[in-house]
Amino acid sequence: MKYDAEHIDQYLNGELSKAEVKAFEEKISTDKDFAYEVELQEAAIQAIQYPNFMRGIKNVRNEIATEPTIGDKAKTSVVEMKPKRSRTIRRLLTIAATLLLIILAYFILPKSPHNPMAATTDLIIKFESGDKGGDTRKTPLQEGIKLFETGDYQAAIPLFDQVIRENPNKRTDAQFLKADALHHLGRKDDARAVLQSIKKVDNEKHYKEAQMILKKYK
Amino acid sequence: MTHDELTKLLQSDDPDKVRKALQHIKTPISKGEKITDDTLILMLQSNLEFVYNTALKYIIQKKQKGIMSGLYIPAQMEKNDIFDHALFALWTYVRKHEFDTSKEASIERFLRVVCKRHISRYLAKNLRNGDTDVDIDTIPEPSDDTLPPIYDIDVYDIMQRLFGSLGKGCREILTLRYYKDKKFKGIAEEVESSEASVKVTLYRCIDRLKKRIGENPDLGNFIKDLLN
Repeated sequence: MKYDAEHIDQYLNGELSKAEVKAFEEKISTDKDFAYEVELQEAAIQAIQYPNFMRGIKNVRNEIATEPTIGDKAKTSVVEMKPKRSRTIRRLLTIAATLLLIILAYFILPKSPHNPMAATTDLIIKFESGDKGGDTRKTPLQEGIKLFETGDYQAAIPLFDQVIRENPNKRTDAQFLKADALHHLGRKDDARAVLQSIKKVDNEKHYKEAQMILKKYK
Repeated sequence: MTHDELTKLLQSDDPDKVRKALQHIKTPISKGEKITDDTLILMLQSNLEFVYNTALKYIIQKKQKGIMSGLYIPAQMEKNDIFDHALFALWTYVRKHEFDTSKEASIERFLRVVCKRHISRYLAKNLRNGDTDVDIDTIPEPSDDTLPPIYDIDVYDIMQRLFGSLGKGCREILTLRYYKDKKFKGIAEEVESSEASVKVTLYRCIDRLKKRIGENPDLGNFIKDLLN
């Protein structure tokens, strides 16, 4: 029987009958050259398979390198959280932020000219402008206030002087308003003198306010 | 699905049936479940590249680390190269022989023995040549002789070069026949030729390759040594 590459191929592929296989294997065991020929063909087949297989394995390894491991649970990206700061540090940061805002507000917000009497005079004006029970007549204090509100401080001052002289109940109100009017006219020394003239016996509350204002008034 | 049903589907000529079988295998893999050696062998025996590549991928990811652990790897050798050669040995072996998976972890055992054999042959050769200062005691234990002859890594490299030296037409037909496991009819359709012509060309090509392997002094003697 002639053993060529095709016949060896059929043997290696298991395509021979039982009888043919038996004859083939007998030949292998008795004929060294033939055994070598078969081994050579097996080597040749491996030589064909090897580079193709290695190429495939390379692709498999590349695939592994670019994807999560088989069987591993889907990996969720984890964002690392910063550790919580201590309560003291957080409080200090809050205070610092508040102070920063105050400082910013001081520089950013429009500055009003410093008028320590404004708060008191506003209250007096509010009280005096209230409903007087249908009485439409205006007192000298109300007329002075009206002029004060329109910015006519110069005209308001004599009316406040009149109240200071004639109405002890409204004297301290008029003194405050007069001091404020003088302040708006830039006569700060005169304004200070009027505040100093407010007496405790006339109105203890206004007296204390005047004293406090005088301490800060420059 | 039983093992027999899975076998039938994987060996089917219908690609849809094979894909169905592969999906059946991939689902437990994606859940982190193990696949048995029986199933892996079945996949490695498949003629379809995407089927046996799935098995190879699983083996690399799940078994390589354990198999290679504790092995002495010479500095000149790459761990992955050694393992890939062992995979090639496994792949060629399971396609020709019955693989006894009744033994515990037989795929692991096979691959570990092949890896050890590659390393010990490499070290023995380089010790003879005086190219390494490796202590003789570090050479792995002799490998299990029950395994079939396995070529050296160097031998594969020479064979790869010889195959590359063939013409493009030869390489294409030989690859279709011996790597893609195509029948002559399929090869003829792919290369747009007749079956008879393909057959003649294929055996002429394989004879040419055999001749080149036989004429190579390293390979010829190596193959003769294997037979003695």
